[in-house]
Amino acid sequence: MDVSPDVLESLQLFSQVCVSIVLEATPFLLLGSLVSGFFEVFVPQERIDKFVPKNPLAGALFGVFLGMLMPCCECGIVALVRRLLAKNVPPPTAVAFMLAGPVINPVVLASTVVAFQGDWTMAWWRMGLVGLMALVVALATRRMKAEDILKPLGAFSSQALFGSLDEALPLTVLNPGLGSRLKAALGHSLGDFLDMGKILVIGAVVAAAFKTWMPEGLVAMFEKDLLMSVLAMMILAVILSLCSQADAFVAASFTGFPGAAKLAFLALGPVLDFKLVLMWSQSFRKDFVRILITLPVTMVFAVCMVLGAAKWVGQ
Amino acid sequence: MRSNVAVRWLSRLDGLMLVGLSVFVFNLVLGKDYWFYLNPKFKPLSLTSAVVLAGLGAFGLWRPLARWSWWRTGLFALVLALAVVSQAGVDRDMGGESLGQDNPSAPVETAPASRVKMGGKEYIRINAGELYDISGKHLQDKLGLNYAMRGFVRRLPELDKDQEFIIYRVALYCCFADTTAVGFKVKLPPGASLPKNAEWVVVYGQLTGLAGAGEKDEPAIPGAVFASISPYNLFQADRLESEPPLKTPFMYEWHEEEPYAY
Repeated sequence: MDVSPDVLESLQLFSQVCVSIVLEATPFLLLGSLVSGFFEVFVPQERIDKFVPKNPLAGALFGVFLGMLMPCCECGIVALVRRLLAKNVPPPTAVAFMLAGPVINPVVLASTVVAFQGDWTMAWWRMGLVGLMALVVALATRRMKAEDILKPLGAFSSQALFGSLDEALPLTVLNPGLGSRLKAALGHSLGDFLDMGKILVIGAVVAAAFKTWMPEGLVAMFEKDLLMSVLAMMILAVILSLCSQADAFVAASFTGFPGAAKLAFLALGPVLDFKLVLMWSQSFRKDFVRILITLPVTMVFAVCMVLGAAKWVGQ
Repeated sequence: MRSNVAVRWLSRLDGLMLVGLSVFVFNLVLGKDYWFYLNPKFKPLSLTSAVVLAGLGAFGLWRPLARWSWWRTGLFALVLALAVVSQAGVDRDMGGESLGQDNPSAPVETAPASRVKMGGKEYIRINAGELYDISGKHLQDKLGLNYAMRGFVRRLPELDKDQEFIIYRVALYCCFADTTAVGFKVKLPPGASLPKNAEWVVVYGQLTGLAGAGEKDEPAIPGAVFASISPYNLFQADRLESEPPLKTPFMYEWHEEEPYAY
């Protein structure tokens, strides 16, 4: 069978994009999985109870602060957060950490400032909006318990996510030696990496397909109208699933779009994208996933429309 | 229903996939194709992840998980298959022309002097990203200087009639998925012949104000997420020279002062 050079070229371009996304995210996913696995085995429950604030607002702020101290990409953080929740870290703290960690950190702040040619406006708005989203979503979980958020263990007995958590249970009871604990930690890490890695692959395939075969000029069609430009950039952020350290450069390249639309892209992308929704759907209950989708989308849309109409963000 | 022994053996496939992925990453880091995928500054990070992947893969072979799903293993196998397809493209340089990747066997460039003299004038060597920054920030003290900038050519019928073309470089920030092309409209002096599409050139000249500033006319570049032409300035070329395509044509760094990254 003959394959035309154009088809072959686009297939190879698609493969190159897809592989590059996987390669870029792999170190962070590995880090998140290793931290998660070792956290599960080596951090006792009592220590968590001692350090994490019980008050929801203080807990949410503590989660944002934790994100600044431990910047982690959005792919790697989900594995860790489900461990935190399983270890009874209050949901406001874990959720605020999950949403703020990938954005509110010095690396992303610096890349946003550089991408926007030294103008701090976009960087501050981005940090502020993501911080606000993290707090609001975190506080929305203040009455929830871990079991209201995490999918039940029994539902995944054979093939999925919490098999490794099941395996962890006897360890705390038996208090085994260091060698066994290391093996258990690596087992958890391996399970987490494989489970999250497969979702990363699906997200990378979708993003690469969009990037390779998106019709020319499709996005630029929407740049003149505030409503359409904000919506288009939000959808693009969800589909492209870019890393939070690089997305500012892509946003800055949309020279014809209003600043509010660029902010929508920058604020929503690291908090909500296609692969994240898949990861959440594997780890969390539907109701909680619905909150994770609707609140950020509503907030980003509303804030960016107001900022855009008032021309507060600039170009 | 599969027996536990069968599941353990099938789970070893996951370990095998991770070892395969680590071999691919090792090969990239130690070989010459890394920059096709990621910014070279991430090499130490990739090398570390290759070591960890190899370790985790070996652990998976030694102590396989007690659960296995064919589609999880299948997705990791898909990544390896895509890596093979992608490498075939990189090796045969398919799709490289539009990004200026058409000379992987070119010799490694040594950093040229920060200035060059041409026809009695001195020009500052600068890359398209750095000049785009100067244009975007409207840096008056730098806008009027003489610059030498290299990149690949995009010809458009509507520009040809005005002796104009677009010069692009592709910027890669983290990975190939976030590449964006930045460039300038270039106007040639009367009588000069237009370069070929996709040809690599160096243009020598100055920035001037662009009529209809802010209007966009940006052809898509396959492989780059989006393409941006300076909306404020046009590059008025004094002269143009062909040059062989660069071995690593992407821009990975930007300097605010001389010597520029070029």
